[in-house]
Amino acid sequence: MTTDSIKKAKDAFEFIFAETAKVVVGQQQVIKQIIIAILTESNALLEGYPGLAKTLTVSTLAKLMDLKFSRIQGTPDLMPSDITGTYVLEETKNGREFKFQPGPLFSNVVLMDEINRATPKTQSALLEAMQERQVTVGNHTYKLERPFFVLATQNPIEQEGTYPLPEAQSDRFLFKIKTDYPTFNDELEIVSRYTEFNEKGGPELKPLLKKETIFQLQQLVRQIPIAQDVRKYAVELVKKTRERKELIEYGASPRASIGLVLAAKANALLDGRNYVTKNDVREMVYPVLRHRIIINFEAERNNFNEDDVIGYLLK
Amino acid sequence: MDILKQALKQVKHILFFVSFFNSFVNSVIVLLIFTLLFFFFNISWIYALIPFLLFLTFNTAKGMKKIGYYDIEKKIPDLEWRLRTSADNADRNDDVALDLHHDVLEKLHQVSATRIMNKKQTISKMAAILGLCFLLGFVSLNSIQFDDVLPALQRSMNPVTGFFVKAANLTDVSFLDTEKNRDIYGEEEDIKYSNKEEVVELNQMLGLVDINNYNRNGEGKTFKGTITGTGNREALGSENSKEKIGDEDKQIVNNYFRSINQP
Repeated sequence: MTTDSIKKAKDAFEFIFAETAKVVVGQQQVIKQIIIAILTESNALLEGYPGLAKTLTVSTLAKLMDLKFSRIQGTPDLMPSDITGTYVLEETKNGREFKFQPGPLFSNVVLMDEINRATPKTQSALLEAMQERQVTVGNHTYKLERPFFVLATQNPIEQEGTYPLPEAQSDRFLFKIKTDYPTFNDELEIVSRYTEFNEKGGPELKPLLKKETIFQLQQLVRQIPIAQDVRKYAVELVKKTRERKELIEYGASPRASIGLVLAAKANALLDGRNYVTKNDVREMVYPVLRHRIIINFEAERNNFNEDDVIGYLLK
Repeated sequence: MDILKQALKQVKHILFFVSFFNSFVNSVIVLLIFTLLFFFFNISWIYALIPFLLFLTFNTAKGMKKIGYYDIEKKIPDLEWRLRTSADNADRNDDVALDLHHDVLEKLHQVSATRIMNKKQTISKMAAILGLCFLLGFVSLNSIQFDDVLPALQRSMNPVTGFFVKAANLTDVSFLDTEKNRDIYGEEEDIKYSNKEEVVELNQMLGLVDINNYNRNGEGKTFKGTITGTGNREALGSENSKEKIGDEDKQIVNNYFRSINQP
């Protein structure tokens, strides 16, 4: 892979943005961060109010990247076997046999809606898949097909009766992506598109990237060179979260440092560059750190949220 | 990549040279300042080499630690972030890294000592060195030392007769008056006047002329009265000065008076 490949990758992603824009209006930062999570072979947590096109964005991206997509709705009665799969009794020529029926986890892109509504047992089954890229059912371990990407969503309101993800588990998500309401013009566009009659039923989306291309791009991300001082800068930022006790109760782990450097590299690739800058690190620090730090009472008393504290650290 | 490593070595040499040059120029300024100070206090200028060498050593060491590719990237925007990334990954030979190395090598020809140096700063330092050299030359030529400067400063700083009050009146030199009375002769205590007045008068007996008997032709001049005293006139010195007049000279004067008094 050469610089031409990097330029081609940039063009391809620009095309993906353009095609996604046919279905999803606005939310450019959300789309960019989801693509970065895919490129870094990581997972992302999406937080936003209902009706902000979270599911639509992920399913559209999955179609454009020629990836198998599955959706799981988190409910309190959801069992681990509902997502991992289970053994079912099947009639065969030789008689009845137990055959493993893979669950929705056996896809390339898995959207877990309202993960905080699922029980901790189900959450941990999902998290094993996220971390190990495998599923254990009974005595057997089944490898998941690559690329494998989980996008979990959370509703910031109506948290009653939910099972919030523990710190140890939320740490496994590379990003916590925040979705916000669209601007007035964007909402006007949304209303125009989705209230008018369309003979075709909607825009036709053709796959732009193949699985092999995505593997190559994931390798390319890791090959992007990074300067020592940029790497040090990323690690220093994460280290500060553990040292600034006046605002932060618990800081981020080294997993955050790894995630931040990888995300910065992916950001550089999306920009068509073969080098990483401090601006890439600064751009990625918010989604990487906001779910990994726990702010203390003093920060809450001053009406600071995680983003405000991260902004304070950047200064 | 060997070519890149060689190129980066050359770049580092340029950086070291620029850093050393800046340290040297700063040290020369320090040397001149100390030389000037030591001259004021009548201390040999050789001792000014000590702070010069100390400053040169520490400043050079500090400069060497501080320099980095960032200094080049600031001056050459095309190399921003690329140069340091390439330098830190110089050992990598994969395609992506090689592309970056080639990008950097293409632009490295723009790197030169003159481009990296801060020209404004260098020019102002050179001007400071010239100024200090001029000042040093002026001070040494006029042998101005601290002992001379202090009284002059004290006089000019006097609030009553200070320079800024009296400078408008150029004929008025009384600003020089401080505690002592001074006139055009200088300090009173330096010059001792004589108590005696200097008497300068002609010997009237010798110089009397009878106007009535005045002969136009000058013949037969008669003088009123007679010359009293002997014809011997001695050459006398002034009472205010003691002058030794030789005997020969005295005789000459004597003969002259005799000749003019002969009828």
